[in-house]
Amino acid sequence: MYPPSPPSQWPHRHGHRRIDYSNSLPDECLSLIFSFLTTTNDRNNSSLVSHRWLRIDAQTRTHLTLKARSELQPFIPSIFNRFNSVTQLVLRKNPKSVGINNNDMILITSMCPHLTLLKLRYFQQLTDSGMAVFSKNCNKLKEFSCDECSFSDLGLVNLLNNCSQLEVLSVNRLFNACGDGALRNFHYVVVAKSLKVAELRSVYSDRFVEALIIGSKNLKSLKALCCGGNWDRCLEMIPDDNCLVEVHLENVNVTDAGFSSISKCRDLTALHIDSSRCTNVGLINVAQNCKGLKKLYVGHQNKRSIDNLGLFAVGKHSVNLHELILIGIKASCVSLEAIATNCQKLARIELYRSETITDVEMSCIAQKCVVLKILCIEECRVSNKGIEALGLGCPNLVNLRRSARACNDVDVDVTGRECVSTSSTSSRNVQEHVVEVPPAEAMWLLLNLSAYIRAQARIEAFALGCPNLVEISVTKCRHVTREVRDCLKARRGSVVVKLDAVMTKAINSIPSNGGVYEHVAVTEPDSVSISPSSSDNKRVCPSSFPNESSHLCDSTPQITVGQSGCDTQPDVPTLTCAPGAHWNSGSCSVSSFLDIASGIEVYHSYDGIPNRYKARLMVNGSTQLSGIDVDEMFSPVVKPDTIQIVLRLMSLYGLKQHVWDVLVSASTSGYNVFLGKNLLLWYSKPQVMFSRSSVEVEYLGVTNAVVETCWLRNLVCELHTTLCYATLVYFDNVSYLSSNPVQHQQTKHIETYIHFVRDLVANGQVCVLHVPFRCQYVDIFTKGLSNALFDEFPSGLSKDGNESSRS
Amino acid sequence: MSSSSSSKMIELRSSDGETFHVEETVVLQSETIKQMIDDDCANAAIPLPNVTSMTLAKVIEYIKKHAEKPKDDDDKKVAEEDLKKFDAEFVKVDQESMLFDLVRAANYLNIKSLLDLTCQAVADSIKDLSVEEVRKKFNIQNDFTPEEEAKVRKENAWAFD
Repeated sequence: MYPPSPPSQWPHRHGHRRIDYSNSLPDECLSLIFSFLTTTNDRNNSSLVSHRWLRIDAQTRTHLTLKARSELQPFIPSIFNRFNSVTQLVLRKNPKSVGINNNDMILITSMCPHLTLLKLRYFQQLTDSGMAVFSKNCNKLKEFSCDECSFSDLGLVNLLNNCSQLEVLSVNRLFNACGDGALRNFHYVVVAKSLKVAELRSVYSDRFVEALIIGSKNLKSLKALCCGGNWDRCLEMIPDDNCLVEVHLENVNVTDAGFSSISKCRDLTALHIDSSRCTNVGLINVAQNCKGLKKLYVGHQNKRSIDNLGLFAVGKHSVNLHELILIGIKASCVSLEAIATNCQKLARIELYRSETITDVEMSCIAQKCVVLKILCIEECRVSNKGIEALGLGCPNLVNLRRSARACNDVDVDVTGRECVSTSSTSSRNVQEHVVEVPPAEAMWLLLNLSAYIRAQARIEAFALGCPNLVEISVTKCRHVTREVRDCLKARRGSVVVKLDAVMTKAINSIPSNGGVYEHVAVTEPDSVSISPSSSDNKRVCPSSFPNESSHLCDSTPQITVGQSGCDTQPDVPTLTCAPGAHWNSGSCSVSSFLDIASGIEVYHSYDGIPNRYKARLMVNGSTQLSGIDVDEMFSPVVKPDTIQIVLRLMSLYGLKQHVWDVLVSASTSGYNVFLGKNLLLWYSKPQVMFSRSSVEVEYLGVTNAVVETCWLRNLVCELHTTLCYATLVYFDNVSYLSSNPVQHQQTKHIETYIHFVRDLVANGQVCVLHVPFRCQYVDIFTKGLSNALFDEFPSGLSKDGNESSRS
Repeated sequence: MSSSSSSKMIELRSSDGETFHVEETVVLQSETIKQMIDDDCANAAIPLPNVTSMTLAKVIEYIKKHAEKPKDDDDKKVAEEDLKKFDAEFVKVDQESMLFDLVRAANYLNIKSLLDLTCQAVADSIKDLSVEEVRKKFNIQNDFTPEEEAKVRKENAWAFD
C-alpha cells in the first residue's frame, strides 16, 4: 500500500516521503469522520493519534459522559478546557463512590456555557444552594434529568427558575422533599414557561408538584409514577388555559376530584390512569370534556368502581379514540358496543384481566371495529368462538394476541387444555395466537393457530371467510388433518394450507420394521399408556415400549427421527413424567411423544461413551388433554397454607368436605394474611438475614410478606377462584415509602428486595399502603404492647375489610 | 433541474488537464458546480484544480449511478437495494489515499451523500484500531511527547459510554 520506510524518516523528505493521508483533509472532513465513530473508546483513541486529531476530536465532542467521582476534581479544568463545545453532559458514578460536590459542579457548568442537556445520577454531595448557583450557569439548558440525587425539591425549584429554556424535566427518586426545616411551610413559586415535559417518578413533594403545575403554563406532558402526596390537590392547580395533551398517572393517590381537574385539559389526547380510587363519575367527566382523547388507558386493580357506565360515556363522547387499554375493568358488550360503534378510528384494543369479556364481546368487536389493527386479550373468558368471530370480522386486523392464564376456570374446553403443561409457572401456558396481515397491498395471511382450531369446520370457516387469505399454517392442532387441506384445495385452490410439520414429518419417518414410534402411532386410542412403576412414581419407564429397555442396556441409538433434537440422540432411556400419564392415539401421540423426547440430554464419560441420560420433560401443553393425557402433576405435597385456603374457599362457596388425603411438607414462613375478612395465615419468625437498621427490617418484612402473598395468589388462581383485587400490603413505617437515598451505601444489598416489591406494585398485583401503628395488628406477635392495644388487636385479627397482608 | 436542460453537457477539467463531459442533471448533485452553473460560469470547461482525473472519474461514476431514477414503485425498491450494494462496493478502494482523495473531492464539490459515504468508510476503517494502528494506517507521525500523551490518556480515562 505504501513504501515500507521507517516512520522517523518521512516528514522531512519531501520528494519521496510517505504522505500523511489525513493531513490533506480539511478539518471539517476530519470532524465529520469523527462524528461517525460511535464508541467512546474509538474517540479516545483518535484523540491520541496526533495533536491535530486531539484538537479536532475535542472540538467535535458535543456529548460527554463522565465518571464523576470526587477524584475527577483535579482533572475538571483540563478536561473541560479541552472539550469546550460540550452541549450534552452526563455525569454518573456508581452508587457507592463519593461524587463531585457543589463547587465542582459550579466549575463544570461555568466551563460549559452551551450545555443543553444535563443528566445527574447518584450524586449525594449536591445541595439545594449549590444547585441554585450552578443552574445559573446553564441558562441554555433544555433537558435536565436526575436520579437519586441529594438535593431536595427546593433545588429543582431553583433549577426551573434559573433555566428559563428548560423543556424537559425528568426526576427519579427525589426523597428529600422537605428542604430545610424552616422552609417546611414555605410555598414554592416556579416560573417555567418553556417546560413541555415533566416526568416524575418517586417524587414525594406536594408543594413542588403544585408549584410546577401552576408555573409551567406550556406543559404538554405530565407523567407521575409512584409519587406520594395528595394528587387531587396538585391536579386542582391545572390552569384553565393549560395545553396538556398527555397525562399519565400511575400509582399516585388520585380520585374523581383529580379526574374533574383533568377534564379541564381540552387538548388532552392521551390519558393513562392507574389508580384504585377513581370511579365512573371521574371517567365520565373526562370523556365529556376531553373530546380529543385518542389514547385511553384505564388500569384498575382494587375496586370495581369503573364499569360499563364509565365506558359507555367514553364510547359516546370520545369519537377520536385510537387506542383503548383496559386492565381489570368490568366491561361488557353494552359499553364495548357503544365504543365500537362510535369510535370508528379505534385501531388498537387491549383487554386484560376481565372476566366479563367473553365471546359476545369478541363478536361485537369483530363486527363493529372496522379499522382495528391490534387486539390483545389476556385473562379473559374468551373461547374459540370469540377468536373465530374475530377471524371472520375485523378486516384490518394485523395482530391478535391472546393469552389465557390459569385463572380462567370457565372455559375448560380451551384453557383446560392449555393448563396441562407440567410447568408450574404460567408462562408456558401462555399461548400466543397471531394473525398477521401485512399492509393492505400484501395478499397473504398467515395463521398460526396453536391449539385453537380443533374442528375442521373452523379451518374452513377461516379459509372461506377471509377474502385475502393466501396461506394458513396450522401447528399443534390434533384435530386438524389432511382432509381439511384436500377439502379446501377443492373449494379454494388459492389458499395454501400448511399442516403441522411435527406431525407430518413424524409420520413420514416412522420406520416400517416395527420401531418404537410406529408402535405408538398405530395403536388404538388409550391402548398405549405409560403406567407408573410401583417403586418410584416420578420416574416412569414406559413398559409398553418393548424396545425401550434394550436401548437402555446397549445404549446405542437404533432409531433416529428427523425431528428437532431427536435426530442425533439415542433413544429415550427413561421418561420423567407425571404419574398416570396416557398418550393419546394416532398421529398426535407421535407429536406429543416427540415433544417430550426433544428434551433428552446425553452425558458422556471422559472417553466419550454416553454414560447417563437425562430426560427433561418438555411437554407442550397444547398437545395433551387434561384427563386423557395427564391427570395430576408432580408429587402431592401440600403446604399448610394451601389447606387453609382450600378450607376458606370451601366455606365461602358452601362446599362439603369429603376426604382429606394430603402429605404435609415442612412449615414455611411477622405478617398476617387476610383473605376477605378471614385471617388466613400468620407468620412470626426471626428473619434469616441480620439487619443493621430498622429500614432493612422493614424492607425484608414487606418483601417476605409479598413473596408469600404472591404464592397465595397463584394458589387461589389454581383453585379456580379469580382474585379481582390487588393484594394490599399494610405496614407502619414511612421510611419504606420515602426511604432516604443518602443512606444508599447501607441499603444497597437489600435493594433487590425493594425492586421485587416495586415490580409487583407496577404490575398491579400488590398495593403497598401505610397503616398507623395502632392498627398494625401484627405487632401483637412481635412487640410488647400497651394494654389497650393488646386487648384490641385480637379482635382485629378476626375481622377485617379487605384481603390484605400486614407486615 | 428542469427536463429541458437534461441533455446539456457540462465539461469538467481535472487538475491534470483531463476533461470529462457529464450531463448537467447528473452534475447538479454537486452543490459547488450547481452554484457555478447558476452564476453562469459554466460555459467553458469547469476547472477542478483540487481533483485528479482518477478521482474525478470515480466521482462521476458515483453521481451517474445516483442520478438514475426508478420508473415506478416496484422498481424503486430494487433500485434502492442496488444503490446500497453499489455504495458498499464503491468505497472498497485498494488504496487508502484514494479514499481520502474521494473525501476531499466530495468536500470540494460539495456532494453531501458522497461525503457522508466516504467519511463513514474512513470511520469504519479506524474502528476498534489501537492508536498505533491508526497512525500506521494513515502514515501519521506521533507528534506527542510522552508526557503529553500520558496526560491525554489520563483525561480520557474519565470519559466512557
